Amino acid sequence: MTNDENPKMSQQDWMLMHRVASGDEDAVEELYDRFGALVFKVSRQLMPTRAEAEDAVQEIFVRLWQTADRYDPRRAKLVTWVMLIARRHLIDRMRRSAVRPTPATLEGDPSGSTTDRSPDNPPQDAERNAELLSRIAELPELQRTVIERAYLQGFTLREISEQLDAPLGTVKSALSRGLNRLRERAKKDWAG
Amino acid sequence: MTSPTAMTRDELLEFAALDSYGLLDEYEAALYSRAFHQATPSLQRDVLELQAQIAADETLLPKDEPSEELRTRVLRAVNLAIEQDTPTPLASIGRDVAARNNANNRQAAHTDASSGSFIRFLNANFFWRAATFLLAGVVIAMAYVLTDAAGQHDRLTMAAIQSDVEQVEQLVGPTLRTYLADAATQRVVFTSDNSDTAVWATLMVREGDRKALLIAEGLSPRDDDRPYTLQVRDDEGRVHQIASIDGRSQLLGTRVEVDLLAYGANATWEITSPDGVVLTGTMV
Repeated sequence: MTNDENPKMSQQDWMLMHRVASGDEDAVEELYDRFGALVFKVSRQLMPTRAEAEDAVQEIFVRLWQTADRYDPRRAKLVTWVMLIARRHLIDRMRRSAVRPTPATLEGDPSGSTTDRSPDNPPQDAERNAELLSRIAELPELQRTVIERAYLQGFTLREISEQLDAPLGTVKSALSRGLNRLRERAKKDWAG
Repeated sequence: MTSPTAMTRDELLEFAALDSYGLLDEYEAALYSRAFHQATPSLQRDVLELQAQIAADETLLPKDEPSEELRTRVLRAVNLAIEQDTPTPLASIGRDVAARNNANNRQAAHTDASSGSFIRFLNANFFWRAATFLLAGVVIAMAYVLTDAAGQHDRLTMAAIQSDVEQVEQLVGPTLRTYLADAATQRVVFTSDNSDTAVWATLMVREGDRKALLIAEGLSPRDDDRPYTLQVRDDEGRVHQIASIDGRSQLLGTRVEVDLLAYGANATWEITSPDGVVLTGTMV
C-alpha cells in the first residue's frame, strides 16, 4: 500500500490528487481502487452497522474530492492523507450522532447499551471487532480505557483526560504505547 | 498543557502516530505541525514513513471487504457532487447585482434628467452599494473560509481569489492573498455573543514566520476615538495585548505578529473595547 517510497511516486500521487480536485472521473476511480477497501474497513470498525459504514465511505470520498487540492506530499504520503481524512470524518460522525459505541456494541453484544440493535444488522456485525477487542482486553487498564475511548469512541485526548482526571501527557503516552503494543501484537499474529 | 517548545524525536514520533489516527485536537495538531516543520529532513522522512505504516496497517481493522456495489455508489456520489459543484465566483455576486443596480440607476437618471444633483447622488450611492455587495460576496466567501475548519474552504478561497480580491486587498492590505492561499495558515475565528451586532473578525497566522493578518468588519469607530484591542488570555488567566485596532465599520485589515501556540491550549482570544469584550475567538 505504501508504494510511494520515492519522489516520483510522490509526484504521481500529487498529480492524482490534482486530477481528483479538477473532477477527473478516472482519477476518482483510481483513488477509490487504491484506497476504497482500506477506507471501508476503518469505517466498518467505527460505524455500528454495515449500512452506516457504506454511507460513511461515500461521504469520505466526496470529502477527499473536496479537499484534494490541499494534498501536500511533503507533509504526508497519500495513504496517510486519505486515512486521516477518513478517520476525522468518522470521528466527527460519531460525535454528531451523540450516541457513541461502547465496547459491547462494537463487539455486537446484544446487551450493549447503545446502538446496533436494529433488525437490519447482519450477523457478521457481531464479530467485526471481536479480535481487536480481545487484544485490547490484554492491555494494562489505563491503556485499555484510553484506547477504547479515543480510538473506538472518538473522544479527544483532552476529554479523556478530564473524564479520568489524569494529566493529558499521561493519557497521550498511554494511548500511544497501547496502540504500539496492539500493532506489534497484531503483526506477530498475522505473521504467525 | 504541552509546551509549545521544540519536540524531541520521540515526542514528535508519538505525536505523529496519534496524528495519523486523527486523535489530535486543533491545538495539538498545530503544535505537531510546527514541530514537523522544524524537524530535520531526516526526521521528517521518518515521520512520513511511520505515519504511512500506521495508515496502511490493516492488522487492527475488521476483515470485511466492500461490495462491488459500493464502488458504484461511491463513484456515483462523487460524480454527482462534482456535477453539482459550482465554484461560484462569489465575489462576482456583487458585480452582477451592481450591474443591475447600474441599469436601474441609469433608468432613474433618465426619468429625472433635469436633476444633476440627483444623478450625482445616484452615482455616489451606486458606488457604495456596489462596494457593499462586492464586500458581501467576499465576506460570504471569507466566512466559509474561516469557519469551515475541515476544508471545503479552499475551493471557496480560490473562487474569491479569482475575481475581486484585488479590490478587497485595497481595504485590508496587499498580503491577504498570501494568507488565503496558504493551506498551512492557522486561524482564530472571532464571533460575538450578541446576535444583534453584525461584527466578525478573523486572525490568520502564517505558521512559518508568525506574521498575522487580522480582518474584521463592523468594528465601528468609537465616539471617544479610543481603539479596540486584540488580546489573549493565557492558560493561567494572564492577559497579553497583541495589537490596537482603530475602529472602522467596513472591512479592515491589520497586520500583527503573534505566536498562536505560546499561550496554551485553553487560551482565550478576545477583541475588546474600553467597554468590555466585543468578540471572542476560537482557534479552528
